[in-house]
Amino acid sequence: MVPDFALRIQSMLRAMREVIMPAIAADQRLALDQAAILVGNLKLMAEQCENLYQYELVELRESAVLVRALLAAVEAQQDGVIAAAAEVLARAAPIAELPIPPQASVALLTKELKIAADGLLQVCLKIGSPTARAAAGALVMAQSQTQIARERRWFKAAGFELEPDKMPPLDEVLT
Amino acid sequence: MAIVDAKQNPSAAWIEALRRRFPTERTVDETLTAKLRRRAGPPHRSQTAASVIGRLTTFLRKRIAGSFDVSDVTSLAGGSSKEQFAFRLKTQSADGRSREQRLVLRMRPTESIVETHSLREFQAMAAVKDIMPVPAVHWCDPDGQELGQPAMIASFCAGVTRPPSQGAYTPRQGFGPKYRALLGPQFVRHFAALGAFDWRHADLSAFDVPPSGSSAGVLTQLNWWQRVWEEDCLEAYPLMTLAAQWLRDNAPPIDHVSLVHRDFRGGNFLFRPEDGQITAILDWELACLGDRHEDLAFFMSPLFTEKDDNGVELVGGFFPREEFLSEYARLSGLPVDRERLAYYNVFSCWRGVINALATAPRVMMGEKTHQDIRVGWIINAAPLMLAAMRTALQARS
Repeated sequence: MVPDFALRIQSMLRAMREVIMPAIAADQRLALDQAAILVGNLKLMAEQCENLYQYELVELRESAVLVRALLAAVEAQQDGVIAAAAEVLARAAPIAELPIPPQASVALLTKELKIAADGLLQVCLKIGSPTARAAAGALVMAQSQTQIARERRWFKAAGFELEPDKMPPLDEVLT
Repeated sequence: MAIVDAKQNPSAAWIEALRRRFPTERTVDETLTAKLRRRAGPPHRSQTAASVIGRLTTFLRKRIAGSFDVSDVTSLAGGSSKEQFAFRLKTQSADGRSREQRLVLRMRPTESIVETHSLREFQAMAAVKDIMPVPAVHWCDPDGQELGQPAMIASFCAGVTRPPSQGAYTPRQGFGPKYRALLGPQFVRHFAALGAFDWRHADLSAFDVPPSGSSAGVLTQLNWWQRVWEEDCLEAYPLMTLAAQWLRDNAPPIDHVSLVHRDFRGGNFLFRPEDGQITAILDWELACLGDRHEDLAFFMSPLFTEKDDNGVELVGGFFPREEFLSEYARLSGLPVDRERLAYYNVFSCWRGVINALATAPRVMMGEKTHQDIRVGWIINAAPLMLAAMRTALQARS
């Protein structure tokens, strides 16, 4: 994904540090205070953004372990509570067992795959037969259709689309 | 926070390989090569007002006879590529006559979303001064030896680029019916005048002249932008490779060599809000000698298309498509060739994606401008341009 969140936050921090904060008059204490907190939040988010999903997953696993242990320990016959806990544990268990890799390694692998695809296309365009060139071109055109649809929806809120209301929900392009 | 990749510290061998692989115009090569040689250096730091005054004073002392004073230096907002300061210059000649001017110092940051040569912009603006309103250009320091950054000095022009609006930047100006009626006819007149302009007697020594009746000049421009893609992109994007190959395979001969602005659209001219008079056409940095259809196609990009109250699509936010093209042809006396227009539709989108998806994040990565955050916002437009490019490619295959 270009640009990733880390790069966006880097530029926001720089704008705050070098342009916006120096422009706030020294007697504007409330603005200065909130600007400093905003910078603090951005630094926090910069550190967290690439591990957000891992954090959720760790919490899910830890909570599932606790629920499982408590279910075993509960002696009272509170059927409603026990049933609800068992039901949510049943939904969480498959996810808790998933070996999901860190986000950074997924991003790197994706980048490598894009380089590989581009390299193959270049070879095809350079030395491939007309048939191979046409086939490679058709494959790239087909794949780019879904990629571009996803990217357009991902950046919809930026306001560049002429008809944003006609775009699909975000979860629809992320399946 | 350090975010880097190998291109952030380019080797001399890599730079030379790119130069050999993508031969292009002299001044373009010079500019891009210098950019890469600077890349491993520090982030951009804006000059202070005191520094600007000091450098300007030294610079102007060599060029102005008599006494003068530089004051009221203020940084200007707007624009994504160049750092700009307005300032006041008071001069007094030997016979005691005094004069006061408001001027603009327009400087290239350490790296820009469009890396360009100051002399090209300076010469392009000087060339067209008699056919359309442009800020008068006064001095140029193309390599930044004296002003600290490559720069030019031009007159300050009053005006606005769009009616007052709120929210983050978008390339649509939202002129509305009133300003559309006032600005549209003037705009297309200037557009046509540029296409038809006989540039042969102007000093355009910083430009390479492409041969008419040949596609050689188109390939030179393709090399420029493909080189920029290779220099700057953070990720491979196979559709961009496919488009580049298509553009090479289908490059049309230039039927009439025009001075091409390459960013001729709303947002890049100033007008007086009180009467809608266009006071200056701006941002000539990307200008080249080439095919007028490139300007036409870029202007008609979906990025700048708006809808009127009846839902009619207006290219550039001004005109229904066919109305614009026929008016352009009538005023310029030059035909609009649909095949060439279709070609430059792909070309313009491809070039726009290179700026937005390759150079913008590259500049942000190195903190190389005074406008990282604004440059980063432009990346959000890349998917729309990619979609338009893909649709155009599909229509041609």
